[in-house]
Amino acid sequence: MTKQEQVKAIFIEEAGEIIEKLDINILRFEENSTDFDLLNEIFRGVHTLKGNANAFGFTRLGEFVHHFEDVLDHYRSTHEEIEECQLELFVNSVDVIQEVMTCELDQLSDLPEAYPDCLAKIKALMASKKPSSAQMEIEEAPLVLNDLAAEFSLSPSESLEDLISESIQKQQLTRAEGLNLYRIDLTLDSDCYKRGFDHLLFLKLLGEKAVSLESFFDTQSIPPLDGFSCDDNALKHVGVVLLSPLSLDEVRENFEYLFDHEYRVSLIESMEIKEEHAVEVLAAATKAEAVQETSKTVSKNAPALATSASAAKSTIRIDTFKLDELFDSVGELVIAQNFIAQNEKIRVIEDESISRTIETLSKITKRIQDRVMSLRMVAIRDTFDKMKRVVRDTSKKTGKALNLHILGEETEIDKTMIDNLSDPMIHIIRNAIDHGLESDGAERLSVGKKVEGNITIRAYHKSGSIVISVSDDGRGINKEKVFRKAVQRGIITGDENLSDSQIFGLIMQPGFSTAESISDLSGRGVGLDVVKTSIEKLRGKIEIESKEGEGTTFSMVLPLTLAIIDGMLVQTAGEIYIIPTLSVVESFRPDREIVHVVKGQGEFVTMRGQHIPVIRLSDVFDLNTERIEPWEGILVCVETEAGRIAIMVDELVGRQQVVIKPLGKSLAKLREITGGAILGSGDIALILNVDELRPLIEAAHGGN
Amino acid sequence: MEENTTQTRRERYLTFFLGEEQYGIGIDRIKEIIALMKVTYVPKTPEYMKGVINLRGSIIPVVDTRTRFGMEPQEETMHTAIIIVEVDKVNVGFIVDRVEEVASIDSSHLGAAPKFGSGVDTDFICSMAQIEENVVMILDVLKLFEADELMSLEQMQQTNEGE
Repeated sequence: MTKQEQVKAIFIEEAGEIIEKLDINILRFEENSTDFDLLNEIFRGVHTLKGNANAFGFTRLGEFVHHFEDVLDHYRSTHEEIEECQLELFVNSVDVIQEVMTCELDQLSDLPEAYPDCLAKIKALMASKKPSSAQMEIEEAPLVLNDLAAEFSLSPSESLEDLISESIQKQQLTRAEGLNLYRIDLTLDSDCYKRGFDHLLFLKLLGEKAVSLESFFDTQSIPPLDGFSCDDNALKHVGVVLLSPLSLDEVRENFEYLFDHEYRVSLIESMEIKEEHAVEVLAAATKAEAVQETSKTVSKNAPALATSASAAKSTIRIDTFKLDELFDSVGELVIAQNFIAQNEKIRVIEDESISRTIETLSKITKRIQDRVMSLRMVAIRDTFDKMKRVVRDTSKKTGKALNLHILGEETEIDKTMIDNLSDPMIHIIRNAIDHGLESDGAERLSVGKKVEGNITIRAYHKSGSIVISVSDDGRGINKEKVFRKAVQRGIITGDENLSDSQIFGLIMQPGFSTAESISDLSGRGVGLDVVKTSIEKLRGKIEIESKEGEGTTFSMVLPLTLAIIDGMLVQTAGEIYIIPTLSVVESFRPDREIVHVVKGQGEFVTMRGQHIPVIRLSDVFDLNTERIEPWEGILVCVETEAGRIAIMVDELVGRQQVVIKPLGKSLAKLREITGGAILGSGDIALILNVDELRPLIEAAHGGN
Repeated sequence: MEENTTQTRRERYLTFFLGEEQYGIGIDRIKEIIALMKVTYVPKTPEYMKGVINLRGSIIPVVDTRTRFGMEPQEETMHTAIIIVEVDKVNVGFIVDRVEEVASIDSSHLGAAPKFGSGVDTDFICSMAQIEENVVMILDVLKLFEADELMSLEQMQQTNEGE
């Protein structure tokens, strides 16, 4: 990858994030269109996007975003009320931005369908809002910028005037009592140097008593180097924004030797900004002084931007690979720390300062470990926010009114898992709205429900798994219809005696669709099977519950792979295994009387009237060990999908939070083991997948 | 310099011993050599899968090369080592009796693998070379671990899936 490509890759990633955030923010804004802080945030995102897009030659994106920015800027600065149709336009614009971005990335020559229409609407809206001079600027032909050099210049359409107004606005917001804000326009004649005047001279004079000084140079009319004359002033216009305690007359004094037409000083009172002719500015100046001044401008801009952004949550992007490395290093750190803490030779040194230092070391290590472990975990909120959009769009497309309820958006889930969750979720949600909810309000009313449907998206922990469920309160799944259809499609023969959940499971078979009409959204018979496979890829599963007339719930049950689990450490045949604590019900050494051997069925332990099969870990794993009786070992009673089982181990070792690490490709297929974890001692312990532990006898039966 | 250019390509191999026999693995695949450490047994794997080790925080599988080649197991000695090899972007450890040296072998000195003898499945051997007195068998690690390994695991899986 060349440097340029790297930078481009960073841009693309960043742009993706900005757009994603825009999408969420615009929806939040739609809900509450008076939240101007939010609008500011949206504006900032759009602004960054614009700069980046132009710098990388994504001119079509750049142009669109530029106009969009104008509109946002207008509302942002005027706090004017936003009508609903305009909100809709905003939401659509974000869509277009997203699409244009894809076009730019794939280097397609076609623009998205909505592009010209949406752009025209934005321009029209802007034209109606701004005085005629601004309109002219907007209707300029888009200027093509195709190289990085553009990054150093202002976008040509970004006028000097805009920059000055922006700076004024910024100063307006932050200016303190007793200070005056001035706008000074210097239009020195070309012979001014000969007369002994220089822009920098004035800047210096003004700077002496200034709290803040920003200068903007119009370098457009500077001739190329071969025609350049150092005796002539080529800077036609320099704009200065000055924040100073001086009075208007005192400021004017500085310019008293200039011709009247060469300067204009105005005191800025309010937010009102006068529209002037647009002047283009190229910051990459040919004159050394100009460069110097420009950099001053930039550096003064920076803190101002920083303050406005500090309110937002600050984050950094980190390559997950680096995180993994950090994980491993911390693992080693913990081991090394344990080594020191438990080292006999160090222990014999009875020195208080040493033991205290070691104690501090262990505390810090523990803290680092906890922090690092939590880095990979992110709240599912962002994904849920994305789903709001899906729900909104689907609701509009299908014309079904509905209320969305979101629960448990704080639930933390592994980042890598989140990335793969969106698509299946979108599918399930669309499915729930399109098929789950009744086609019209009247149908709902007739069965005594409210006209608006309810969609509930929920995330929660359940026995060592993360469950993400999507429920609707629609008509539910018609079992007979599903059954008939499956027979018709040849998925089943019709002779089977299927349980409810097995019948519901049929709708996720490839080629199955019960929707009477094939819609744009779902119903093409592809989809649910794709959802099923993608969830299975995450080593999760989908459960469907449905009650006819009451609704359907799709639950994606996901493992905590790569996440941290709280594990119970047990020992059998000299090896340590980990049982996820969440699935553990209790552990105990059984009395001889409660253990029974049922011929041909194995051992059972009777607890509170329940017969629980005993599973000897040493048998399941063919471990060579001395066979002991259940009452000589420990039974760990766990909850599994197939009901409770009692895992028999030699002894309990302890309880610990561990990071699940994959065992590698070749061993990943072992069903009984979810992964490994590295213990404080540096040893590896395998983590058991209790759902796959079955009594041997049963497994033998199942094999037939 | 001149001599080298006139000759055919020289490749470098890490050679090691299993019993009396010397083997070689292309040096570009070798990540590192470590002393034998505690190997955690992983149940339900083929016999030659010795288990997994903790290599500075990552868990990697370890193959008992002797068992893999159908040789008698041997007591560990101070020479027993684990060679970490990258196979298809995954690190795998191979336990060997003794690591010998890094040998440069002229590609013209490499001969075809024998079709019989040695008591070793000849599929793993892609070529043979003579270093002084010894014959070195150059191993194809991909075949050694990946192909056969995965297949057997897959088969195991299928029988399990019969439930």
